[in-house]
Amino acid sequence: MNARTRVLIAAAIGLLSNAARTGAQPVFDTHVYHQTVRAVLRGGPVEKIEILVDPSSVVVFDITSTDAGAVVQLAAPDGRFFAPDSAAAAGVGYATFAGGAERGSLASFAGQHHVFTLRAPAVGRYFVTVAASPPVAGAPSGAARSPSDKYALVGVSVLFANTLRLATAIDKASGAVGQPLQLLVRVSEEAGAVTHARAHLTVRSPNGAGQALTGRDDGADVDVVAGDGVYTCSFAPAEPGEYAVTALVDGFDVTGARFRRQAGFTFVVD
Amino acid sequence: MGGQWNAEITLSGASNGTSPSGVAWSFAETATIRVRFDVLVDGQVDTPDRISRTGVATLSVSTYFVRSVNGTVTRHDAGAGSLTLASEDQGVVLVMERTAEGCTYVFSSLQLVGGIRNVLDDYEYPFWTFGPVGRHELSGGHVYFGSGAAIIIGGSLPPGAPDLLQPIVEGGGPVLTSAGDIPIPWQVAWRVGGPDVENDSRVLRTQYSSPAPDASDRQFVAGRERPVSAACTFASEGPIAFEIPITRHVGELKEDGTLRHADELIHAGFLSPTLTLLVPVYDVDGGPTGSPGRSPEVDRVLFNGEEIGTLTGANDAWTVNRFEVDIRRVRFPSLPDVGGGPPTAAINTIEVRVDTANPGTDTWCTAVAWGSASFKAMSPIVLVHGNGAAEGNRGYGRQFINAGFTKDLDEQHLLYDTSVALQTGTIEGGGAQLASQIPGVATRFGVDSVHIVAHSKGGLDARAFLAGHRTDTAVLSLTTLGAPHDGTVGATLLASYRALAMTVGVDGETLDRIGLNKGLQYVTPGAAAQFNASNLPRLSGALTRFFTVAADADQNGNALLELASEWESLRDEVRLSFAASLLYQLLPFVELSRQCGASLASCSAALEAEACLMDVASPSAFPPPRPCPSDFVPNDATVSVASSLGMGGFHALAHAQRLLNGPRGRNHASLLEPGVASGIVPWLLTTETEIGDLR
Repeated sequence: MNARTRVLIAAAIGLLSNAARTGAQPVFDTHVYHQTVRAVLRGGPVEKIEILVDPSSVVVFDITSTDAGAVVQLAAPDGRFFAPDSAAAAGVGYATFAGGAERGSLASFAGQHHVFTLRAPAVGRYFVTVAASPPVAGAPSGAARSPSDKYALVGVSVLFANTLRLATAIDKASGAVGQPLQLLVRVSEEAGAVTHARAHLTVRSPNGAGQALTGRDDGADVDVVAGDGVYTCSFAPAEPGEYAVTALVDGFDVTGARFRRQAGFTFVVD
Repeated sequence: MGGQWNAEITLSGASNGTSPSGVAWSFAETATIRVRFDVLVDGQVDTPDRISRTGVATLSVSTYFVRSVNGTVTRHDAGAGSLTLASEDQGVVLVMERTAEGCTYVFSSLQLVGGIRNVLDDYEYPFWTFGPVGRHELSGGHVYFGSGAAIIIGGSLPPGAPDLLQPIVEGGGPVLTSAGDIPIPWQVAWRVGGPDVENDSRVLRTQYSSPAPDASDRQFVAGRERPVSAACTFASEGPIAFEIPITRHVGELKEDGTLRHADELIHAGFLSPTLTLLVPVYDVDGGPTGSPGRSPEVDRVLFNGEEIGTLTGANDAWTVNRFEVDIRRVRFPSLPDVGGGPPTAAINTIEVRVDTANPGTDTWCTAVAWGSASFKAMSPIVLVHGNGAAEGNRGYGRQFINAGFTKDLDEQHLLYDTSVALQTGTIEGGGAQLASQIPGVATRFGVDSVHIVAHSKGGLDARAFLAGHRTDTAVLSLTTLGAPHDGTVGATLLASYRALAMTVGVDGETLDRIGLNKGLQYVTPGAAAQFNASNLPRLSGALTRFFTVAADADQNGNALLELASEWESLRDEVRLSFAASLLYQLLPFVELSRQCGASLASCSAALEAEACLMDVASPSAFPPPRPCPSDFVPNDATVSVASSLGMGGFHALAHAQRLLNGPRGRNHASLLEPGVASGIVPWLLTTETEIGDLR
């Protein structure tokens, strides 16, 4: 048995044990990224997207824009700027590639990917700046904020070399109108559950309406166990369709450093 | 009953159990059991619904005994032709009534309709080989339907009775081992003859052929509705000619309608070398004539104009003649366009030239009851695409053609279909779409069974189809290619992006087009776990055989995709190896991190993988200065090997699995390139020869 086979078996055992835990319990999907998305007006002002970097040995920014001509830069809290043509000189790794739906995994996001890799990054607030190309002449005004001649969709995924993890779950495979669902956010790191964080959830209904919710970890109401790092809230869908949930968590890790993580998931109500 | 079946019993309710060979069976719908007897009169088979129709046999069921798993037997005297079974019921005993004496009753055929197909398949061979020449004579006794299969028990258990009889007999219930123990004598109402019969020597009197067999996608029949010959035919009345229409497409055709690649198909075992033609004929007098100057009867048989032999038989008796016809002489239908309905039948003509040894005289006559033509051929393969292939004009199943997957199938002249088109969405929705589309595919080929080969999420869609939908099309096998049976963390990333984009107002249709489609949320590890919890129990015991193919994209074992052969198909941009390696590294990192996050145990493996990922993510130094760890979670840059093999549970149902690694390694896209299908075909062939149309 070679090393790969051992790992394969170990992974299988992990999956099996995970499946065994499934039962009626919600199954969490772990997000290793901090992710955010903006719709950037073409030809408009430079968009600034704030990213909070907590202590990490390495951090990787994957900035993807549906506008291949968008100009992307990264500003660090120590005052340095990193641009595609100057990153190497500044000791920052940079690569770019075009994603496509048939390419699997993260690269399925069909846009131009800009990847910055920073070793021993400064801790604090970073700003991703995006200047989208000018709009194409004749672009319709008032278009929806979708990737188009008028808007560029920009996604930022930030991968941290540390063990802080955000995981999300819903207590049902699919929902039904009027029946409350539990939305759960779990925050953990190698040392254990992360408590005393703030979990903000935003649910966007199929009709576009948004609802802000707060996850609680105090053992009250829908939260089962206080202080287990699982933040829970209840939501009752009012119409059928696809719902989008954004979970934003901020708090302090075991070292006392502030962190912020955001991820999303969708669910469908019949 | 349509005049053909002596008994027709409708079963309803739910029942399940395990066959003697260990196959779990169940039915939860209405099933119909039909049974037919021939009657021997003076040693001749006498069937009421053939040829002259001068008699009608009615074997009626008066009493049922239902046996439960604990051996308890309950009696039902209504005899209304229907029974409702409980879940613990194991079998049904039918007691048939008879009214005439002096006849021997020959069990002729059995048909099970609906509900319990897997049981029939399991029992079919033991049953049909039961007794001499596939029949069992009844000189008194019961008709027994045990565990869903029909069993005939005469005065005593005959030699060679299948073992499946024993548990039932020994388990108690109505005594079945001797005629004297039968609680109600079984009787046959039988009327023979008519006023016109006695005076017409050419009427077949009480002589009847065996009934025409049922038609299927591998057996085609002429003379089912009415006999080919209305009476015994002399030479002056012209040849006896009839047509057997074949409605199954088997392969590419030559201009004359025969197969272009018959030799290759036969050599590969995908097609029987001959077509078996069965023709029951009456009164073939091949012996001494007793009349000077008269020759024995010679009736020449031609198939599509070519002689295949002469009839054999006996005076005043029916004899089934069997001819093996070179399959290369047989005309088959062409394949209709997609949506064009079933194939237009290819007509094969059979001609019997009567009494050719006595030209100009009407010395001998003969008659033909029916004709059947049967052959064995491989069922077509339905190719099911993966997630999102419906978006962006990617051509649905045509990706199998464009990428080259079908090249292997073309070279072997195997039949396949790429018309399935699934709108992106839930797995259950994909299953429902398959349930509505696959019967149409089967109709187009003229078959009632298919194989499915499904890529990526299509494999889960197919599992949902098999678990939750019942159609008239049997799915013999499902082979999944890189299917995320346990989900993929890549989907978690993309589904998260979709949710975030929606919250800033981007519409779902736009996101579908840029690779952030709504199908992703159903193949995350969490969603897959929920799917498995409901799907796996429903797949257990399915007739379909499952096969899985997984791939490791890293062909040289360094955990990078720096070789062109490793990243080709995934990427076609600059710095391809870097980007592909990033994908390859990302999956194990996330997978290990997921386990780390879930268990809160040691995360060292995840951290090691993370360090490797970081190296790869510094493309200025690509390939990285130090090798990535070899003990890595292999993947195809989209789905891990463990997930593709279904190690979370589905693997237990798989008959076989294949890992493409090392020099044979593939990425998620190149799983659809040439060379993969050729490794799958032996699975399909074995399945066909054991449970499919090549049995």
